[in-house]
Amino acid sequence: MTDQLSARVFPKLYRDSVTLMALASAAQRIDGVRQVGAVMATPANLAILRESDMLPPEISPAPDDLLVVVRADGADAGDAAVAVVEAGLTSAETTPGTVAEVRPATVREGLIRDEALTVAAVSTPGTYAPVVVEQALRGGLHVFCFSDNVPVEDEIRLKQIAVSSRRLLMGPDCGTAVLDGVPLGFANVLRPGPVAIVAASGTGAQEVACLLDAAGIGVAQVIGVGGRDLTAEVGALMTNLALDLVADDPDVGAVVLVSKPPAAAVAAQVLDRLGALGTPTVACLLGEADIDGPVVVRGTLEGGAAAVASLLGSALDLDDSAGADALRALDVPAARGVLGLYTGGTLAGETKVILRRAGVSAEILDLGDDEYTAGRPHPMIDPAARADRVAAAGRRPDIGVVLVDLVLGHGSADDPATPLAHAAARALSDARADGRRLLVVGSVCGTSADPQGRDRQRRILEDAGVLVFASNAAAARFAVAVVTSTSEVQQ
Amino acid sequence: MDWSVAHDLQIVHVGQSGTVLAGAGAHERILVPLTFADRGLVPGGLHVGHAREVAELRAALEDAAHRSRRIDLSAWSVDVTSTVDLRLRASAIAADAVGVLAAGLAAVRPVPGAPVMDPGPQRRLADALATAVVSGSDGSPVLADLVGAGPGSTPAGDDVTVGVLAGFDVADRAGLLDAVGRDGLTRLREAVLPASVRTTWVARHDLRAAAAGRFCERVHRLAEALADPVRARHVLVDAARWGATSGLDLTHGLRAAAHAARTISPELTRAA
Repeated sequence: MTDQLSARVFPKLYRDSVTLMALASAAQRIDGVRQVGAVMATPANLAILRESDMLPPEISPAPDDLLVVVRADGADAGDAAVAVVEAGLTSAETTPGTVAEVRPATVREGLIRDEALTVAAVSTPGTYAPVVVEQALRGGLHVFCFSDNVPVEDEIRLKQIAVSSRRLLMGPDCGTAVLDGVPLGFANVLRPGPVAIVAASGTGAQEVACLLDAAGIGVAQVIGVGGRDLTAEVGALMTNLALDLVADDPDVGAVVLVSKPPAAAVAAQVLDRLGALGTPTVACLLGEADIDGPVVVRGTLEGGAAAVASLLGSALDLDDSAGADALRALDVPAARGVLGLYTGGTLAGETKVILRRAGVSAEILDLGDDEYTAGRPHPMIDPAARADRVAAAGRRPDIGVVLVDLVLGHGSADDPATPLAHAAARALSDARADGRRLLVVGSVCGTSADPQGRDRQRRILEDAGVLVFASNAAAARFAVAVVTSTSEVQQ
Repeated sequence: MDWSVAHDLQIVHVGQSGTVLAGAGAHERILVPLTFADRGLVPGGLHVGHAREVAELRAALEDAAHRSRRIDLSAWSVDVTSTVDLRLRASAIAADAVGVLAAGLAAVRPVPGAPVMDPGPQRRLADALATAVVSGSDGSPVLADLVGAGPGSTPAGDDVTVGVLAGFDVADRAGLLDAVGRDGLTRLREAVLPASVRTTWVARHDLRAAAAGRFCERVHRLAEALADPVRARHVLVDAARWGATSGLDLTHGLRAAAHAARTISPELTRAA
């Protein structure tokens, strides 16, 4: 292939540096393109291009001209890259208004632009997040902080600032919130209703809210507080404030706290606080024993949602008959191994609780954990990596059940079911070809109003042979039943 | 400026600091940055402060951007008697603040892509230019490699140079420059003027203003951070969001000048 230069000069054209960088980067991703330069044609830049063998000999631009140069494996790729840059430059020219250019670059600018703003969403790298969060809090804003890797010392300091001004600091590492119906982060489209959810775990809050939604029970607020809020160090600073705020909300008829097990001292304090709220409350503390006291405590997400429904005189819609049918149809015993491949950390945690209580050991992976997401998007955004693992499970003779979740809503992939369905079909086919029985079992955490459509996503999975249950807990219970019945058969 | 040309101004750039208009004056083309409260003041620019006027003007600019890129501002009444002194006022440099800037800049990842899109070479020249100045030189050989070099409509090398000028401006007021250093700064300011013909029109405007001791308000905030490590941490965040590379390019220049000035400070030398 011939190494070739393509170039175009745009006379007296200025473009914002962010635009030029973005266009050059986009053009460089075209197959066959090696390098792209989009710079002002000053003598110094022409010299740099010449030294790097990227200056075509036939051009003689002026310093105020914009020069686009592409080195590619052939003229076609080079011309395509130049066309991409030119299209972007033209688009920037004709895009209505100067919206992109005048978008606030800092919290301060945003506050100057619109004094009516109430919430800042922060998703900068963790190193910078404390500064941005502090600017927003001191500007009088509530903060939704998606950023992770924020030192706990900063979290404590910032939450103290927030508490002193009665502003919410949701996070750091906050995955979900719904404030007055406005979704932030990963959030489902929920029917409005009387339940307030205060959550130290993102997908935990989503699962509880979606189970309630399916039962016809709506949600007033979902307030994330970040996964460390109920640790001894942070001391439930934001949980306490969030509980105060929802207790004052006349639309709230029941409160549910969702969290992994808190530090013991913090748990006692928070349960006291819940008991004094004057509103029916449920503490959904993953792995804790169920307690029917002044504050109802449940150790699973499903249990917490069911308790809230019960307090409101309703019940969850949990039909496990599909599981019983599948169990009866289990003509070939499945292997005893259970592999959980989860995108939601709390859903993985709930499964561990249920399997542990049943004495079933399993390999349950939270693929959204930092260990698996370094350098790549979260699997709720990009389902490909999880799908690869599901497909590969079909070639493992030790695995009889693969447990999966599928989390819908704003922030999640447009169609997460399809790649998972393809992978499941592949795994089932491979196992069948090997004479083994494999079950792919899961649930859909979503609502019928979510952009992806819960029912449509569910059908895609079922058509591929996935056994889909009404809740994550129900799927986990089914896995227990399979393993137990397999053991009985083998005995 | 000659307002007789105000009916025929052309938008040449919509950037981070303001919208740049241009027209033909009696002897040369003129350049008019229009700035707003959320963007800060810019040397030689017209600041539109009233919210209603900002809305009207932005609408006019957007309309012009879609059509002919020409804008008629002849109906506007401009109070040119109200001017703002954009000379720096910062006058302190703290070693720990400079350290915070250095550590923050060192943590910035390299920009991938073609060599001409990488501001790294220009940033690395910041120390060479600063060292030349404190040695009494005008830094011409380094300036030749900086002016007009690198990515951006104000090329990275120009932003680095503006940052160096700002850093020495503060250092001079802080009493950190000896006679040799002050002479070097004067010579650098003089050298920037002829060198600026080798860069873009917009960058030339910034370089000439900086050589005259006038800087946009964002540079003021950077300069003030030289006295305070907490503010230094804050401005790094803002700088990282200022254009693709401009804010960090400026900060590199500022840090290099502050570091060089402190290194040769007579007071510090005595203390050592």
